[in-house]
Amino acid sequence: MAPDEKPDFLVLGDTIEAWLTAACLVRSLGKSGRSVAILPVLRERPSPPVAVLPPSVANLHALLGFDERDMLRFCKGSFRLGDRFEGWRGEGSSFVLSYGSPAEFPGEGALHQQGRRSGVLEQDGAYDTFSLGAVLGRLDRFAHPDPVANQQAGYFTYGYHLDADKYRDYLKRAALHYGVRKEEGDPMSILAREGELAAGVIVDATGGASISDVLPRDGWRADADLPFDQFALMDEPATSLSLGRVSAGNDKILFDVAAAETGCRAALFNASGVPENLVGAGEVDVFGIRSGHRTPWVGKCVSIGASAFGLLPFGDVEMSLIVRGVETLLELLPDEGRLAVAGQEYNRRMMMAYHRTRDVQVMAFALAARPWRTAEAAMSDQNRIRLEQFRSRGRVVTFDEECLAPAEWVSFMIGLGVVPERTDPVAESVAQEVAAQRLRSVSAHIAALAERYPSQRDYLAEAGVIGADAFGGGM
Amino acid sequence: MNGSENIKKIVIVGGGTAGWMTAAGLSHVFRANGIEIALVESDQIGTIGVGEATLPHLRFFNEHLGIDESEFMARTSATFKLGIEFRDWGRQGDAYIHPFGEYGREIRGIDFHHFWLKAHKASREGRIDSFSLPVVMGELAKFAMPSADPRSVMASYSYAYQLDAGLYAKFLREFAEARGVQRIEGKIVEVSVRPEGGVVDFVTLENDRKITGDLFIDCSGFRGLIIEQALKAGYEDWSQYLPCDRAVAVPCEMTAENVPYTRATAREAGWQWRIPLQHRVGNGYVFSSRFTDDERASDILMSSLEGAPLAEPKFIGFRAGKRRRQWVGNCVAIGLSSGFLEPLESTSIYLIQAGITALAELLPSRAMHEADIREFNRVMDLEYERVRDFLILHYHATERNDSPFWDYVRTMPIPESLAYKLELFRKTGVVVQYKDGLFLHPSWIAVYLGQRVVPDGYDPRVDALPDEQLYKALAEMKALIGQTVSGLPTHADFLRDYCPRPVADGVL
Repeated sequence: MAPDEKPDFLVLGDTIEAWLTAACLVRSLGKSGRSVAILPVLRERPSPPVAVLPPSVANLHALLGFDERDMLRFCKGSFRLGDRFEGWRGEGSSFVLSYGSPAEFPGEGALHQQGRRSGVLEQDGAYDTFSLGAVLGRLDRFAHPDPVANQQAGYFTYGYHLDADKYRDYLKRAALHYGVRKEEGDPMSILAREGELAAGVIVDATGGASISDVLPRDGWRADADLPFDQFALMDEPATSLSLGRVSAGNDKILFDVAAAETGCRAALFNASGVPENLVGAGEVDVFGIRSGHRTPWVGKCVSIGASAFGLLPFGDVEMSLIVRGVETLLELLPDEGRLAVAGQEYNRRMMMAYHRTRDVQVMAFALAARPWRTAEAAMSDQNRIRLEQFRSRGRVVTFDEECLAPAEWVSFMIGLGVVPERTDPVAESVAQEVAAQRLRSVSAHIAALAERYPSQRDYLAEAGVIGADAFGGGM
Repeated sequence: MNGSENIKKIVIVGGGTAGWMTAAGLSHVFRANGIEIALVESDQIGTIGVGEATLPHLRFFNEHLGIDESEFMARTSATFKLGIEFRDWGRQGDAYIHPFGEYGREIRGIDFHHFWLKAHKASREGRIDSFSLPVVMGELAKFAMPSADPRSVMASYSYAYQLDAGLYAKFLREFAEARGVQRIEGKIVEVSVRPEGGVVDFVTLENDRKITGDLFIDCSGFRGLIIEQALKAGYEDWSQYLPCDRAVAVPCEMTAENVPYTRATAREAGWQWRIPLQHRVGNGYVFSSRFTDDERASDILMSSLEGAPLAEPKFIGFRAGKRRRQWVGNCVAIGLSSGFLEPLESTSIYLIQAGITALAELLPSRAMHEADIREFNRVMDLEYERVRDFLILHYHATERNDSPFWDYVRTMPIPESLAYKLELFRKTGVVVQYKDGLFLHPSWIAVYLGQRVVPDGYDPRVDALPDEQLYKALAEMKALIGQTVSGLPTHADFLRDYCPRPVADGVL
């Protein structure tokens, strides 16, 4: 592409989502004759030093030809098994929301149904013992899943905790390597050349930078019914490499997460009641949370990441929506004559993805044993059906574009204290003592299996992630 | 559930396919729960014998029950079904098979049909059908079991059955009775509903016998003996989209080698089915009484039979739509009592199965929780609506203008949900995907392309693959399918080896 040639795609931003989008676009389009450029507008809001990636990112990494070990070494990363929620059912309580599913026993009802009969669901954290991912997470152990060997223990999968700056650099290298043109110069003049938008399609991945306000699109719509509207970022030494930790207090949530050499804490609170221990911190910068959304695709402009959707910054929600956004954009790549209809479908899917992801946070706030304000309107119809069915009989209902898999919803709702009022009759076809024995056996099997896994730190050291110098040539 | 709250007795009202499938399914799933199941039917009341053609889901229903496939097929005179052939739908003279399987294989994570579209637009490829193993198998009347190895091209398809629904009901009756289901012979003359409404206490037979139960399942067919006549569930009429309201059916002798697919041929005021069983061919003409009459419909059907008729033509009336509520109080409607969608895509038995599955998942306690009822009705509404849209597509996506019927369906307003899907495919080649839809990508692609809804463009990522690589990959896929199919046995030979119909059953 000639330096002054109008690109087919111009990505705005210097964020993870900007470089990920640019790299995936150029890699997908290959030698099709369509070009991708990036204008690395600086993000105006702070980004956490640790990037929290869900398992779904694996497809995009595969598209980019990433070698996992090389990426982890370069990005000083660790394997992520999920999040540990502390204090949501009251002080001292905890449960793990891990990626994967517990063992299944066809024809005998779901494991949680048997758990209800045996009374284990009421015991704090007890359901975790049926999930290999959760047990490994609590122990901070890791090795790659072996689906055949672990059949009796269900399955787990994993995402990553990466040093955010290094991950962005890694993506940047890939993007430039595959042919993304980096635009230099005054952003405003580049954005509007000769009175027209400077590309066939512009992707706003600035994370909400003000320059993107010049783009022709609709405004931000606040969804102000989540209980916290402020956040602060702090350095925090690593506690677990495998799990994020989401701790609830009456006036705040703390999200701690650690990659191999970087740890951080995000404190979420409400402007009307700043927690005392944060006031004391003095030098901590506080930012407003932009909870809400905008129509992600209008005309020739597509917004990805924080430019389109704002949720509370804990867990992997932000990266989940980014991955979904990039995947959907790739599937619906706009072309002459299909811009409007592709945009319509993109918006349909991404708005569903946003609402289903938001459902996870809203459900947590609605069920927590904390004095938090959650607007009644925040509960979507889908969440109401989901909660009603699970509370009534332990049935899991899922919808299109879900953020959590069915088994993950089960763990989540049980962790938050929802015990079904009834047992599924299918589960009652097995004698209670037989079911109870089965549960003990599964739990013991998983505990024994987990002991055979190395600590994640050892595993990363063995892979050369910890203590290694920069890599980055393995894509 | 919790001890005393458990359902003690289920009463199924009506036999036939819906009644006996429900009895078999529930008696198997809840065999250890001590639930008494009774089925009331009368030899005086005939059954419709819905859908002799099925979808692959029925295999999983049978497998779940532990039914031996070859025995089941032999006893129901069944043949294998790899898809449905549609003739004269897009234009007169057109034909395509909607297969139970994939087209080609995705390349670099991109759906295969986009690659085919590029080659097709460059006049380098003809029909997409050549990239579907089940289509090629069907056209050559071959059959073999799919492979469990996902790397094999033989894993790219599934199959269903073409069966005698009456024999299937009989087969399931044996199955259910062996598992304790009690059959009660008798004609129901009264349904006793509590004065406050919504709850059925008992049904009364002609001989004054009263049958009580905790849960009543209405499988009484179109009339909806309990769900409509007693509980007034209401009916949502979809005849503005699906104007066919009558069918005339007749079996005939088989004159040709058995093919593993059902045929649906468009006619001047509807369409005609052809379902080959082992011993006969089922035929019927589904038509709209607004655009033709019984006599003309019967003439068209009888004049197009391939063999001698084996019975007098039988007429059936219906109205496309569904009950507004399929579960009211302690009564659940399953089968024709819950709604009717014409058997163009063999969905009748599937919808029975969907109702049984939803009920098994939501089996209530005696208290009849509103949560269970709401959820069942939500799930079944979704099932019906998504099947409805797919059926409407067949009529609406046509260029035919040779009769008032086709003029009407071609120009009629369609549901927004379908209009959206059509527009997206036309402009982008992207198929709208839903988590809970019955028909998946390949089904929509089959009907779209088979009925000349060809996208304006294709996925731009396709152009990243050099042309010579694309054409080479397509040629290899096609060759692999051709070579694979050439080595397979004929459908007729496979049937003879696997599930020959017992000679003792002799006549029809």
